[in-house]
Amino acid sequence: MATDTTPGTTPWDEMGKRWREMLDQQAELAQGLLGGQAKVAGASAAGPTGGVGAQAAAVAELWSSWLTLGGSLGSAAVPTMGEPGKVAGETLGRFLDPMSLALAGGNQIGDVIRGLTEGPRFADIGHLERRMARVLELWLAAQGAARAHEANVAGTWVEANKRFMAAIGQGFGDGRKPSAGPKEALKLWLDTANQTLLEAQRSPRFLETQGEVLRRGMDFLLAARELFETFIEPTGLPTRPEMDEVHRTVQDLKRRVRALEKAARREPATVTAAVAAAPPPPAVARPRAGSAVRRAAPRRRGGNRDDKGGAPA
Amino acid sequence: MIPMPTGGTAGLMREAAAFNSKVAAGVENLRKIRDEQVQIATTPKDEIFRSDKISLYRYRPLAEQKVRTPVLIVYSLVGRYTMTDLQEDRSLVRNLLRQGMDVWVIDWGNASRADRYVTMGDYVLGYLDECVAAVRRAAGVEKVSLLGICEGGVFTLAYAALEPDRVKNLALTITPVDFHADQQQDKLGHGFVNVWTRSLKAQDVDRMIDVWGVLPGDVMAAVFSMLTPIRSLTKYNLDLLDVVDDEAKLLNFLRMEKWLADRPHHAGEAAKQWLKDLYQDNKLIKGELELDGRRVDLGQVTMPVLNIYAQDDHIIPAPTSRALDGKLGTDDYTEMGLPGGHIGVFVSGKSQGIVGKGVVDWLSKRDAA
Repeated sequence: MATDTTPGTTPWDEMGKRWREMLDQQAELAQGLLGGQAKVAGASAAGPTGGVGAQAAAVAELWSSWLTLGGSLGSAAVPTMGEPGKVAGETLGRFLDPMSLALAGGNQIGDVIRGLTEGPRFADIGHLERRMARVLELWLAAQGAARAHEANVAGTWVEANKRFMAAIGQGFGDGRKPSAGPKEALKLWLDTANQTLLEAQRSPRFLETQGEVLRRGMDFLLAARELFETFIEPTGLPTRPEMDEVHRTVQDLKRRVRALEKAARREPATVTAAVAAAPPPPAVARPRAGSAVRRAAPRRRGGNRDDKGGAPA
Repeated sequence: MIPMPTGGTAGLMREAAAFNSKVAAGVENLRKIRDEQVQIATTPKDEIFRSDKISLYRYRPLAEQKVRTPVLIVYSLVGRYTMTDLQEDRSLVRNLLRQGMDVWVIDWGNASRADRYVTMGDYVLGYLDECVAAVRRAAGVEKVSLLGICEGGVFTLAYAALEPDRVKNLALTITPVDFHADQQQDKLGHGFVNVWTRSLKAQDVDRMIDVWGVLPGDVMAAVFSMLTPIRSLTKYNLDLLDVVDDEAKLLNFLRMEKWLADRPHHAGEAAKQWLKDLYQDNKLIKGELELDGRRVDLGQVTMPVLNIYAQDDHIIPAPTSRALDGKLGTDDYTEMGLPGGHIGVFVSGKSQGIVGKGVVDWLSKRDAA
């Protein structure tokens, strides 16, 4: 594939250029399709007097526009894809062939598949533009919040400077030289600035403007992500919600495995304890350990209580 | 320090010459230092157990074992356990080992977006429980002693409440318990993390995790830098210049920087619980915190508890730790307030040995019980 070697041209510039060209081309084709639809509508409205021939010609023109447009979208969807292998190439060809898709089922299914393979449809183009505009709007809001917060912070530094000058001025005010040397003056400045910043950072106004930076930034990042996912979803690349779903499932599975492992570890112990506590078979003439303890218990337990009570052993 | 003339041309020249010498020596020191010299957490240890990203290590002994019950160090998710073993002469781990302790540590690993759904319950009743089980098996003991640090202290406290039969002693260090108790003291530089987190709405926290999947280490680092705003600005000029011509001090500075730079992300759901359930809603002290559907009742903590706090802790203000007194199901509760700040308690030259000795003395007395 030929590449633009113009100095300063990045792949992103190239992609943007091709994207604009494709949009122009699609707009032109869309115009043709709309014209075709208008002709079909006109021919149909004319009724029997319009003649079947006029209707057929209008439908054929519309179909032709659709095929051309579908083809352009299909090829535009993979503009930089490398040459696939034979099987993959054929599959890809079928996958992107509007005719085969149209034959794959009824209109509804065809529309769904077409939407999946060809990317955004006409109705989505405006929708996408609105989303892009929304992202831009949110970006501007985030920038605005950042500027507001920076202005707030700048005000804090101005306040710190005022306080420092006031402190220094007290030394100059009565004609005396400042009692401190430059090192002390630097220390005074650092301490004053630190104190002023700490006070400001806790103020409701500072926390509010800082919080707005965070909120507006999050809004922008989420909207931008959703917009990008609108573009990548048709390519089959995983979206963030899909990845999150996988991670959630894996985490749930880990919990289940852990619970099962714990239960499995407990099981032998439970079995062992149950066996130990179980009464011996009647044929064995051996007292149960518990029974022996119980028989000796009255005196020993009493002794134990006495021990706790401090009685001599 | 930058040159500050204090008197006359001769004084100016002397100070300029001294400053130039200092800078030259510092540049030479920085040029000579190799990465191997800035390594941290070098005390030899062996990996005994691994689960997902979590590793359990057992340190090799440095002295004859005097305390039979092993002690498991549980650090926070916000930082890395390597702070407990910063360098040879500033190491809680080495101090414990030299006094005959069997020391273990959990490395929580580095959370990523893939860990978005890991909860505090997974950490406490999953990973920590698995590590405790591994220690018990390997050491042949019924119970272990836990040494929790900061958020790790909250994890160990919750674990001790939920699984008291497996914990012999519980030592907490710089651990927040009442997340709103910062308001009880009037220290300007203290408790900003509490103030900042309360200023957020619950939806803000959810949104951060939606966007990033984790609480990024960079975000917490930025909040921490606001605790000492001017120090954060002068660190790499004035502060660095103070130590740059002293190789030992410079290495200590660089190791601390290395630890600070290694700030992991905090797993998403666990971060939500940390910020919302604890910092905002203060559920631990209220007895409302639930992990995996089990309520953490501090009254169920029946083993001996040692609570070490830093008197000048600006991240976990002392009142937020000391609020534990009277909330436990044990009468064997000891508080130890130490001079210093949140990290300084462990790594400052002055504090070396104090925490380690305090912990070992306290544990030794309770080892045979």
